[in-house]
Amino acid sequence: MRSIRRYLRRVLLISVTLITSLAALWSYHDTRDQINELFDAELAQTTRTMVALYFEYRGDQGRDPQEMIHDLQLQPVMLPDNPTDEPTPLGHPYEKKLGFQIWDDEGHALLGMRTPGVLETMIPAPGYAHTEGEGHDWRTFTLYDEVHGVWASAAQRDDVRDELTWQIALRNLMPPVIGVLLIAMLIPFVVARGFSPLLRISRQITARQPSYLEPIDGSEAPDEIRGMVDALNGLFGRLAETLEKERRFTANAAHELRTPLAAIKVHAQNLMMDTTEARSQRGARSIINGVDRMTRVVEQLLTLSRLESGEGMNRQAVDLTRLGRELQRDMQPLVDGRRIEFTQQIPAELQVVSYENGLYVLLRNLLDNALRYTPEGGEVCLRMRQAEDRLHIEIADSGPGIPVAERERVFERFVRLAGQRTSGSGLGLSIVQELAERLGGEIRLDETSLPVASGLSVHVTLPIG
Amino acid sequence: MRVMLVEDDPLLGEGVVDVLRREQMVPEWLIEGRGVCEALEGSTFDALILDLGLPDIDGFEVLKQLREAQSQIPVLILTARDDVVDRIRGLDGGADDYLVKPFDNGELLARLRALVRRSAGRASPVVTCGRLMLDPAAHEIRFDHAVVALGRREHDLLAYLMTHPGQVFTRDQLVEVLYGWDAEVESNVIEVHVHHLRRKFGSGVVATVRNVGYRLGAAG
Repeated sequence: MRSIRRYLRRVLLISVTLITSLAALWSYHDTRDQINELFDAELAQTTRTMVALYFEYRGDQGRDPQEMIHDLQLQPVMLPDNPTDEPTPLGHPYEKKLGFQIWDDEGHALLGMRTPGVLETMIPAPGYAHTEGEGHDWRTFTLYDEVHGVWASAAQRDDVRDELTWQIALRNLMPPVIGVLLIAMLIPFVVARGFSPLLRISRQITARQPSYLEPIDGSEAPDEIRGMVDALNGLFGRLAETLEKERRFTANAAHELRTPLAAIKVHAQNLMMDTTEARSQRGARSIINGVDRMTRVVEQLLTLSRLESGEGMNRQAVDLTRLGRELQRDMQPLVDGRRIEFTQQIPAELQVVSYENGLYVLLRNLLDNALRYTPEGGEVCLRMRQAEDRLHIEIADSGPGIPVAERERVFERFVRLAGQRTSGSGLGLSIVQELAERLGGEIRLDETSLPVASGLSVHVTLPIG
Repeated sequence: MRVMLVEDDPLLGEGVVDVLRREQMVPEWLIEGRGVCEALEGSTFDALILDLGLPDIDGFEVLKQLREAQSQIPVLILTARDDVVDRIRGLDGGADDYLVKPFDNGELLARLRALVRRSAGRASPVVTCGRLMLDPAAHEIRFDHAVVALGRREHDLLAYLMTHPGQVFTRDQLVEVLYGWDAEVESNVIEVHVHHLRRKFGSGVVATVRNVGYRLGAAG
């Protein structure tokens, strides 16, 4: 349906025309039936009257029955041809279209007022019948008068009935046809008026700037549209929220990228003025640190962007022991020289079907966090176990932990907790949460399960198989 | 010149502190917004460099608290937010200048000097007090148009007194101005510097206010 307005106009017009036509047809048939009944009754009446008159003339008065025809002026009267079929002072033009005949038992004609070709022979059965003559259809009625032993038939041309039927039907048809024409003219206006609120709202939306997400004014919208307006307003609200989140994200991403850039620039400018070897060394190291920071933020942003586009997520059998070895190797730089005890408890036979890449990035981010926040001489432990059809992962550390009140907030992007000396970007846990969701799992923060004074345990539960 | 830096990023903070020290300024560095107001109360800071994206409280909030506490200190916002909206919000919120990261060290210093100069009600970059003339950008003090060779602390002490003429400072305040919070210095270090200045410019250059401290002398 390309246009509701066109559809309504067309369908309404066609249905009104069709229904009116059907009504006209029905009315025509009904009229014809009624007229037929009327004429048939009249024909029978005429036949009986003729028989009675015939015997009246012949029997009691002893007159030539032919006189009866004359008397009745039933001799075909040549009325002037009157195309309008209107009655005249001499009679009615339909009169010439009647025929009459009486036979005795043997079939000899006794009296007749015939039209050539019609009622030439006796019709041997009483009742109504059809015949042809003078190039027309005729309706006949025949009766057998048992008292006198005669047959009598009267005939009437069918086209008299048809004409009358047509005229009555046409006359009946006029009001509905005029009605249809009026309705046809009205429909476009009514449809256009009915659709005007929709068009008004549609114009309102079309005229909007893409960033303008205030709700549409639906106070004047009819009930049928209000649902759509409400839905649209809901969508605008959610869009505005998403845009605001994106805006915040961009602002934060800018901060996370510009700050290390600024640091690099400051140190590079200082380096240009340094004269001593020791200071130059220190400056160069600061610049390298800055570039490393920048690299991590860029990598994390790319990881998030890849996660959002769903790239590289294939389910496959994952060898968790091998994954553990890889992580051990990756994390070595953070463990070395800081006397941190990094242990793993992964059952050798543990095999799961999951997204290997996603699982790996998730674990690396969590371990990276745990190792960075754990002070020298601390402890970090990675545990995995299977319970029913779920894989339970726990990463426990002996770091400062996260206060209960902050445990929700740390999953937001770029959120870092106050008092942190570690230069994280605040993206790690966002990535982890995004990943856990992608893997169909859940993530929960808790007090550390290690026998130490403080620390954090991150529990991740994932479906496997 | 004593400058407070509020910046949560360790690497950038180190760098900026380094820049300020090279310019013979005395920086103090805080990594949180909390406590900035208290640290500035009744202190001898000449300017505040404030980052907006702090982990605990927003930089705008720090600025608001500061101005509500009637602090007159010139504030330079140093931030990664380059939105015009943020700039306007910062300046209308009581900041005196706005610099977007990454920035040029020279520009940061020039803006700081301009802030301090304007806050002292001077339009000219050069400070003149009698026969003394201070050029802050060049770190030079002239006496009768002749450059006088000064040690770093001597220069800083005299420059500070020249930019705050008529004000009296205690010995502890002056130690803070010259060395910052954590410096461990001899108790008579200010007397030593004053002694040297008097020898180079004449005894009237620094006046002693008995039982209180020092101010710029009338002979200066």
